[in-house]
Amino acid sequence: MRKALILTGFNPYSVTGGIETFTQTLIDLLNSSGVNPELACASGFENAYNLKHEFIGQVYAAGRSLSALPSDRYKFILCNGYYGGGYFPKKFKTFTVFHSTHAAYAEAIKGLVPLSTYLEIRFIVGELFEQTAASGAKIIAVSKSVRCELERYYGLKQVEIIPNPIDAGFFLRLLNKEILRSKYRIRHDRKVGLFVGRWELSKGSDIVQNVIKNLKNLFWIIVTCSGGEAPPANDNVRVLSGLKKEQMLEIYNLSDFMLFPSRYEGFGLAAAEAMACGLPVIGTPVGFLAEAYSETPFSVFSIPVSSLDGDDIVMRINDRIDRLFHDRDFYEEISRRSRELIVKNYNLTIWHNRMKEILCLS
Amino acid sequence: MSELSDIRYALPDVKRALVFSPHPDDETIGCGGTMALYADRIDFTVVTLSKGEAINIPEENKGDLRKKELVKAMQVVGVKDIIFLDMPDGKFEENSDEIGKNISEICRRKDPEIIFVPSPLDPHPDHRQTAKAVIEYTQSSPSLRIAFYEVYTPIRFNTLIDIGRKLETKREALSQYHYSMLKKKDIFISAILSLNRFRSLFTLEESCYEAFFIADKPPTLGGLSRWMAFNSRPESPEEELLDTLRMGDALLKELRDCERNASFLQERTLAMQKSIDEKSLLLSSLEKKMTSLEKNLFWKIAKYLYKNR
Repeated sequence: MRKALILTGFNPYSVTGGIETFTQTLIDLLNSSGVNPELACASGFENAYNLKHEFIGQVYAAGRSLSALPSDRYKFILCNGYYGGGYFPKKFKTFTVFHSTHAAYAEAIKGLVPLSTYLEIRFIVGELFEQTAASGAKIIAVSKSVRCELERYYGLKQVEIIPNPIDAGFFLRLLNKEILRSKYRIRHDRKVGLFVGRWELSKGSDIVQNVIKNLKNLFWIIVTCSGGEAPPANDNVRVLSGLKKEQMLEIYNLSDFMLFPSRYEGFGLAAAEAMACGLPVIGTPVGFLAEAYSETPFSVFSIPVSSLDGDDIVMRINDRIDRLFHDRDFYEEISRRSRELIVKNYNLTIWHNRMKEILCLS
Repeated sequence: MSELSDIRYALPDVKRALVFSPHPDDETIGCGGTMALYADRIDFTVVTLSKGEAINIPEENKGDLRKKELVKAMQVVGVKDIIFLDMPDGKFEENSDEIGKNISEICRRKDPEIIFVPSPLDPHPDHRQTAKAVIEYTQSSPSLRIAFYEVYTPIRFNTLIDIGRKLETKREALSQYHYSMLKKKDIFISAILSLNRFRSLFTLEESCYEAFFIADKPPTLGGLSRWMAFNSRPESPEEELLDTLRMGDALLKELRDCERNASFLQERTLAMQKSIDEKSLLLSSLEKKMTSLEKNLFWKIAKYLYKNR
């Protein structure tokens, strides 16, 4: 059986996040295509070169370990973005999937984080690791916005866009909202807002907190992923973490809308999953949402990133929530068209076909 | 020879210098003249990593004999501060962690502005290991200069120090090393001073020079080795990436430390400001009490009585 290696940051079965979900889906695809996937996770390597930044050292060591392998060991190697930063120069046929660019991410959070954090993300992870991860590899971007960033920041032009996959056969609109609310002990008569992601400024945690504080008529579910800080406790907030795919399906379906005020996304997997479940998303035009919000009727739910730090941000969000719930038919239409958009553009089948084609899988 | 115009003829303007000498005599061979020349302007500390006990002579207590020679040589040169680390001679690589710790501790204590160390291309493995350890240490101190000196091989240099006026001092210092120079000090001294003399080829002056490569910011080992070999040794892409990564990583570490210090100082300043504010409030309330007391009739009587007692 032919072998392929996936070079990534963390074990996708013990860490939750967009890249880990992608990696699991990729493993399934390879297994079903007669390719035996092996995993090399940077977190499992020692910082053998004694860099001060432990994880950067692990990423470098993980990539460097590949140079000792015989060149016929793998049919190909697939790197998840900068986790392939130490794998240079390339020894095997290599695909590098950019789920984001850290140069753009750093610019989005500049001023919100210490200077050292900005410089590390912009230049070590971005300029250095992402450029070396791209060098000599076939480059795949998960959204148009990531492709633009790859060209803008690194001058990379030969980039294939393969949007991240959403399993629209799994993430469905369920019709048992009341049963689900009872299961999670949430009142049926309350409007429920959902936030999914790491609780950190880049994801707009400050905006969500501000909205929770000021819009007291809403109930909130916050689902945190691995990493990030702990959200503050509040009477009208339920914080959940480490949820399985099946539980996420329930959460999307018991909620009334998702708030996604992220300052930067490469794709925005949680928002796409929510939309597949028919959940309207009020958010910033980042990742795939930049494309989604360019179309009516979704454009009315877009919040410009530049407005996030304005004094009237809560009012802007409230205005969009009001518009969403003002008319039941309108809500239903948004819900239906959200799912249609995902099924049409981001369905797992589309991704399977594109990946098989690019990886030359049978 | 195009780089001749870039040669410097003086040490940078520094006050404190550490001279790392793998064995007694290396410091005098490489920079004895320079130390003698600058001893009145720069506080030199000579750090001798080993006693040099592995030398091939029949005497017992070889290390102690060599130590004594070094002390005498440094008296001639005018350096009083000597540190002996007593690392095992010939086994620097095996003891690299210990050496690294010592270098770090001494640098923290002495706060040097420049470090003298043998070239990383020297044929002696202990010399190379010393250079490597110093280079590794300086990666986290980007403002520290390093002066690489010559012992057993001429190096590519960017600084020539004219030791003509101190040539006899250097000769005398070298002649303290009877055992260290295998009881053949005449041959050693002649060879060493000939190298110093040879450097006049670059100045076309009747003098002698000690040659150094002075790095104004810490170089990486790979980058320095390539520079010293006139870039003739191609660097592998992996090494190039690692070199760049190490430099960035070290600079960021320094920045993070600065941010932590700044944040600590800011907290302290805030606490002090708070304390000042509290004391100001207290003072203001005492002043108010005092004013009201002064208006009080009893106080006026008391004041009157006190005045006229």
